[in-house]
Amino acid sequence: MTEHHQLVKDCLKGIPAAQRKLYQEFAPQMLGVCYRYTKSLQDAEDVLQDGFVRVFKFLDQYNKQGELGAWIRRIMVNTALNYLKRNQRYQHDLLFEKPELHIASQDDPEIHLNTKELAELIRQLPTGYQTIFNLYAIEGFNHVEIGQMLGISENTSRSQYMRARHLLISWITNTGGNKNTVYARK
Amino acid sequence: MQENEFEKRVRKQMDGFSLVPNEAVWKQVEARIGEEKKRRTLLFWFFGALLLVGGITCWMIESRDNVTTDVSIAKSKPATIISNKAAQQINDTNKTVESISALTKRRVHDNKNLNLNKQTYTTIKTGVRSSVNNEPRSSKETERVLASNTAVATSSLKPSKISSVVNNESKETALHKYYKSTEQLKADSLQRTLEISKKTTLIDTSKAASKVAVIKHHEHKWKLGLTAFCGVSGNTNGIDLISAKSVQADAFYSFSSSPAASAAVPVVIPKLTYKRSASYGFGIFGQKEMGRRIAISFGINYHYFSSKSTIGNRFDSSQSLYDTALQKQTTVKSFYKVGQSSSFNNKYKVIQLPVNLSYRLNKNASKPLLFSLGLSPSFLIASKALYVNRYQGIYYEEKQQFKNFLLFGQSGLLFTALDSKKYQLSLGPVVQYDFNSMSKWQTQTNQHLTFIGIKSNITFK
Repeated sequence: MTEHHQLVKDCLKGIPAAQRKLYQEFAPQMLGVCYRYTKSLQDAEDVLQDGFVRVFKFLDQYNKQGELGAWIRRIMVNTALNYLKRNQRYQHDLLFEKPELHIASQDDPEIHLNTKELAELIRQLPTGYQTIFNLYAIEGFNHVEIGQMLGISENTSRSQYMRARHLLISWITNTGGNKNTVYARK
Repeated sequence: MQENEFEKRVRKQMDGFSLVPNEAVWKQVEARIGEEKKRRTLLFWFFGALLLVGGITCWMIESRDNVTTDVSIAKSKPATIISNKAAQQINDTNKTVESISALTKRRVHDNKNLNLNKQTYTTIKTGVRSSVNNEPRSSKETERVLASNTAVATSSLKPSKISSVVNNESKETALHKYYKSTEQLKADSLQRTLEISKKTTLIDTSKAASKVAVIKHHEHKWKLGLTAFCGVSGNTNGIDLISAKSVQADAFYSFSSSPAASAAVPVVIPKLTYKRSASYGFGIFGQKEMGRRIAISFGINYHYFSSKSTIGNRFDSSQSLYDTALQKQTTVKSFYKVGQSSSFNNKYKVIQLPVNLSYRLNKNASKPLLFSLGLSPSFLIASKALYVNRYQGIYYEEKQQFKNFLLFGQSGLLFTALDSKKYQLSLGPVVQYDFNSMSKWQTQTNQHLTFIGIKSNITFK
């Protein structure tokens, strides 16, 4: 923590070596975050770039109370959401349907996929599902917060998440990760 | 929903997920950081240079004005210079004339002796003759000598260099009768000119000096004044200064809950539009002349801005909202839906500290036409304005959407309507523009306050 505080101080002084060090320390993890929200590595790198520019721009607002990684991660998530909203390719995919009947899915399947394969499966979800799944299952936001972040109701968020979850579990268990079969079932 | 094992497993697995970014990403980040830094540095130096250039310009103008004042003083007392020259000439003339007079006296004395010798010689030669008989001859001889002296005097002196001293001396000799008739008149004339010029000089110089002193005293004296202004104000998104059409919540798209996926149409969050509304303000200022045409003023103003927004129905129900943009929990007692059914008057109260440079466009200093340009560091002391919660699609009052510090730029013209001994009343059009957006960056919107109106100043002398 203290090391990070010193790093932040040096970055605020505009020391290039410190800025590079901060980037190198957090960029791989943050690219993983960005990758989960986008459909291509290039988009993920674009988000990463925008995100780190914002990190350095607003670094003076980091209150040093919380963990630096969490603060940067939050900026990355916000940047990714803005990127999705602004990017024409994602806008239509982000439309959410009216909440329908919840799909009761209480399965807790074992995940016999490596991290990369799981990340790829998440990215195969429709953008709306993908976003909500990332926000709820991985970032840990609740549905009220997700609803406010995405401008949808809490119920819509919950419903969309259940559908995303069901779809993902289907891919993992029934089809062994073959998403095409799942889409056909839908 | 109760979190089960699946979410935990996914989260655990994804927490360790990382990818090595392309090296080009860092280079681009570095370049953009550099650009940002350059932009800030450039802005800093721009304002620094602006101040420096402004200061140097004021200093140069002031210096030039001082030179101009000296010249004007000189122009106002040409008689002094002339009289000084004339006095010098007179002195020279006096010396010359004195020497001539001495020479003349000596030669007259010699002539008398000569006449006396001639008389003695005649007496011896022709017998005793009355000394009275010698008078004409003596007189002729004397005239001849004096004529010679006159020639010497006139050849060595310019007529204009003859002073009144000559006049006094000439009274004693016949030579000076000649002078009296020609050159002495000129000398008298010159003397009179000198005296007149001396008198005139005294009057003019003293008047000019006192006038300059008064002017300079007024120029460098701080003058206090009152200001009041009224007009219309509005919000712009930073592009259109005049129309005040307004700010929208950027190009954010709503995630509509459309009835069916097939009928899903992207819904843009309705713009929160702002129409111009009344604005007024008042304050005090101190003004100091920096030169003949430039003045600087400092002041403090209270400025009330307002703008009208068209909105939907009001709902008086308390709601607790988490605003992800501002990242804060808000409890609102009432909120407005999107619509066209009602109007809301947004109010902003600002304390401004204006610094203005004014330049006199016309030559008439008593009724100046001033062009003013300046900056106003300002503080938003109160606001009652709507905030767009783009995630909820509702409007409500939110004080924390704004920054406290604003930087206004202002410009205007001031005509002098009334100029009395005690005060000067001037009025004219004025515009103000808020350079830095009043919205916090988190809101991702731009709101720049504008003001167009009439300003009136009363400056006490």
